[in-house]
Amino acid sequence: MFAATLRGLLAHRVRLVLTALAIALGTGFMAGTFVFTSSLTHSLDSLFAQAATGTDVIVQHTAPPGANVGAGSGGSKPIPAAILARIRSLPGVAAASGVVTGRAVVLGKNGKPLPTHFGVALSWPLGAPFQAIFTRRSGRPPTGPGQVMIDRNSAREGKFAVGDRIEITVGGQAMPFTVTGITGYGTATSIAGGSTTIFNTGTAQRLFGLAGRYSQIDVAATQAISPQRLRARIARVLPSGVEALSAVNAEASQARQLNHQLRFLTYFFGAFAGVALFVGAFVIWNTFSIMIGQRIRELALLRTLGARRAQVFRSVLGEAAVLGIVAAAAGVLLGIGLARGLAALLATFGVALPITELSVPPAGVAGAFVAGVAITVIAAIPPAWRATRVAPVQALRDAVPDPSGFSARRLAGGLVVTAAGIALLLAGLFAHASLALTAVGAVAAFLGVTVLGPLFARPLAFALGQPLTRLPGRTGALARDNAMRNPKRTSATAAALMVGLALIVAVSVLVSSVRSVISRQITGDAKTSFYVQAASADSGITPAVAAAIAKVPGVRQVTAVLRTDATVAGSAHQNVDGVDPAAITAFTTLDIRAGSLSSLSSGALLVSKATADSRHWRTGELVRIGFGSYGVSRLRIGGLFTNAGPLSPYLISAATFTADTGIHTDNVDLVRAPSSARAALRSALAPFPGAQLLDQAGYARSRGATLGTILNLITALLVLAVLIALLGIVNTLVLSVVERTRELGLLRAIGMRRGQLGQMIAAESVIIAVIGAVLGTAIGVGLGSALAAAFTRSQGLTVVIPAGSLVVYIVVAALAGMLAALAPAHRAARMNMLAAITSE
Amino acid sequence: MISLPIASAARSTESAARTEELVKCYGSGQSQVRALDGVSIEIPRGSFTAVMGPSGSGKSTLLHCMAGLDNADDGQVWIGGDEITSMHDRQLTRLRRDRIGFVFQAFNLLPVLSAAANITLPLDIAGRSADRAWLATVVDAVGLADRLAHRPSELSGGQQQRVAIARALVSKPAVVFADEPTGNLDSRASTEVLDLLRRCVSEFGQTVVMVTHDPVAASYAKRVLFLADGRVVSDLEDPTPESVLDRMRALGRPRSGDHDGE
Repeated sequence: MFAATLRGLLAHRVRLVLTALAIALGTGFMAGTFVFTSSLTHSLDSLFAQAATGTDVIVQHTAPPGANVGAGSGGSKPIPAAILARIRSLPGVAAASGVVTGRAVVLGKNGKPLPTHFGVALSWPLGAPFQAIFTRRSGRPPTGPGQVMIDRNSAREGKFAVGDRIEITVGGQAMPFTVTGITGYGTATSIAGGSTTIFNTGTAQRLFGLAGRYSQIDVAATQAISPQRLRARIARVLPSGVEALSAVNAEASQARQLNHQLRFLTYFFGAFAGVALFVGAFVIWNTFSIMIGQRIRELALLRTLGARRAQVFRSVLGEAAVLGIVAAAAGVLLGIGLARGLAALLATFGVALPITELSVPPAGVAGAFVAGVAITVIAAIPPAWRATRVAPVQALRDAVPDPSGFSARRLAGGLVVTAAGIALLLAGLFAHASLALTAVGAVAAFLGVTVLGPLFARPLAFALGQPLTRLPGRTGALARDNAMRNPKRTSATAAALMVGLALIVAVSVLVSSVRSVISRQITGDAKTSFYVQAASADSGITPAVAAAIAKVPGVRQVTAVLRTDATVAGSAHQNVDGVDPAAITAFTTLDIRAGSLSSLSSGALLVSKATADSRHWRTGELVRIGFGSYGVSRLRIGGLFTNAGPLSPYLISAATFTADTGIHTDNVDLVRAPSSARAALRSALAPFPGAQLLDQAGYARSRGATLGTILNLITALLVLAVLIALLGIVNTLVLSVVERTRELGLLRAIGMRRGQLGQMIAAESVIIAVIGAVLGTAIGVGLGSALAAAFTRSQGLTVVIPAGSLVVYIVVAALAGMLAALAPAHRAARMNMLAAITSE
Repeated sequence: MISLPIASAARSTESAARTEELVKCYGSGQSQVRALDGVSIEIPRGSFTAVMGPSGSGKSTLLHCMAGLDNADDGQVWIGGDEITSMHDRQLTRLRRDRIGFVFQAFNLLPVLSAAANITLPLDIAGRSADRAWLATVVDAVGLADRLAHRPSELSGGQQQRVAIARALVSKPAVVFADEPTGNLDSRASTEVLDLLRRCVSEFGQTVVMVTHDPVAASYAKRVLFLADGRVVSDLEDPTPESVLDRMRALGRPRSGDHDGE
């Protein structure tokens, strides 16, 4: 019987390819995710390994575990120059160099920042071993103020040559330099694709406010001593809080930490791969269901000839397994190519990650393969089971599909599963804040609606097909009849599209709602009229900006807000803001609910009430805040506020902030001035090309821009699921065309033109697609509203439904439906009319 | 071989359909079969013609080529005054839609449509509305006035074939081609369908060409053409089942001068 299975598969190549593609795409996405993350890990490892070139021991301030690597504008706590002198005097030290690091952005010749995503500034290390990493140098290293060496990548992009004038912004302020040298970095042209600027030590110290201090000290050992022994020797002369690390270990641990932080990408992409596989499962299930339906006579004949039920079951599953293996193998190959695609996709959305080498993790790829095969086989189990229920007598009868699809059992079962799913979802969102519970609820709700699908496929097809019945030549009406004749097939085909679209809609509802909250917080509090912030992500703006703004005629008041990424009570990546307690309420209404604003001045912490509620904190409680290498501060909660406005949920005074973090660049300057001051402000900011002036709406947009990027990225990833669903529509239509060969032949015989035939199939496709889109939109709006309510309830429950986008989604789905009909319509038009009429 | 009177150009306007040295081959080289080997026939208006012949005699191929369902390799076909072998697919489609009616052995109704919608389908496809009086006449003639709302699956075989005949009549075609219309029916339903076809001719002046292998069915026609090996070998006016059977027996005997391939 297995030979028959294989022949059956090979006999229908188009169907085989389409069905296999539905699984291959999902498997490919999953394999691609593993290849991508593994490649990223390897690339980061080699990047950091290169960074250790020539260095044996690194001396730096101790950063507690979980400290934020390279995040925030703080950098690491500086080390006094005296320690460098002490190290240099130790025996076994061949060379030691103090290194200053900071953030600087290279401006192109047009005065705009280069399109690199970040800029690293370094001091030129003293000592040949440390200079080895700067490869393929031309010109010479910087030796005095006004001199800079830049990376090859920036030189190429900005068309800079040695001797050129160049402008570089530090803290947003433009400063003129002369390019004295251009350099590569190890085997690369720059550090991780960003721009690199190298100053001499004195200049770097002045630029980053580190006179007499260094960010870290690099040490090279003599031949006579092992790096380990030298490390121990150095450690003995260091004050507490400063540590000596083996360079190899230090860089490896940095790489580990960064990799750890990027691990979320595996889950992020993995989730979308899961969605793609889930949708692929619908396509498999539906395709096998249709094929079993078409093969009822053949199966019944096999049963008549004595095949056991188990044999029929195995035969169908065998077909699924062969299909799954072929598809998953193709998917794995696809995934290896896809890994670079994912990196490119992230780069498009402003997240550039240095993928320098491709690494294929055997376990991950094998996992994706197994998942692909398993999903295919599992999706084929219900149709295979139905195949075993075919009675031998059906070999002699014509099968008439039940057109109503109605059954009380289906209704009850569907309602119970849907209701349970919704209950789990809401419990996950509102009662337990559990992502797993929410996801399980969502999957159950989708399955429940799918069970119910055949019950409303007919009325939906009838209603949505209504406009199409106006098409001339009855093509639309026939299409509608065809969509209604087999509600199970129509609803299963539409269900795949429904899942993808529901998720897109849910995310867009959530993002619109959160954006609306942000916009309300910023524009609702009309005291601040202008905002000045750094144009590039984390470079900050110098206090000179605020000073310059204060001198602009018409400006009533300006205050600086400092911001850092910190670990608050164990949760990493929380924003903590430093504000001027005396000035801040002139810019935003904090609406203090407990404690007092003035407690800020005595070093206390203000927490937003929503955050405090979710953490069960009260005023007076002590909270541990980790500021990276600056150590951990224990701060008392001095008050709770409800209206964060443009601020973060954690506020401390600017004085406390500077003392605890060492950060001396501002995040945003709040300005009170009449709108007529805009031109004057703009000209006052001319020397600061790295700072941008925004009004309320512009600032709200910029705060919401990240969300928009995330929405676009998620939509792009879900488009794959939608594509798979479209493959499902193509597949169903092709199978239907084959099934209705005689009908189509008759229509041609009695005078239907090829074009009308195509129109009819396209109309049916559009009806199926729009059913999926409408169901998906309805579910998406429900799911999105629940998500939005859960996210925004602490800041004034807000649900915004982006009606315009929803209409666009449905129209796009209808157009995609037409596209999906191309191949089946072509096939129907090409069909031999005589064979169609005479085929039995 | 029996030759028929050669149609003159003047007579062509009186014939509903006509073929001239029609040739259709299947396969190529050694295995080539001439399914039609120079068939020239004329179907007068308002006539009921049966085409008979053993399996493989080319009778279905003749019908397909005359009805614009299949392309001939040589020769001409006229429907009314129009020569159709030179027509493009689009013109042929239009011809089938407006000037030809079909009745098939397997009924070939659309299962999703009611009997009424199946009947008016050719008009719907053409985007024309039905002539109500004619539609009522046709529905009355086929005797299905009380079954119009039913789906094909709810009708008996005879009823389905009567729906198909009504569908063929509704656009007042030049010719109705019926391909083994009783092949799937029991004798009672066959009689009903054949009576109906005869009434189409006698009452409405409809031209009907019916392919059949059943002498009883053929006896309902005014004239029977006998095909063998792709040629018209005999014809019979006012047939009875017995005379048809006799003629077939006579044709079944091997004769000298037959070409290869038997």
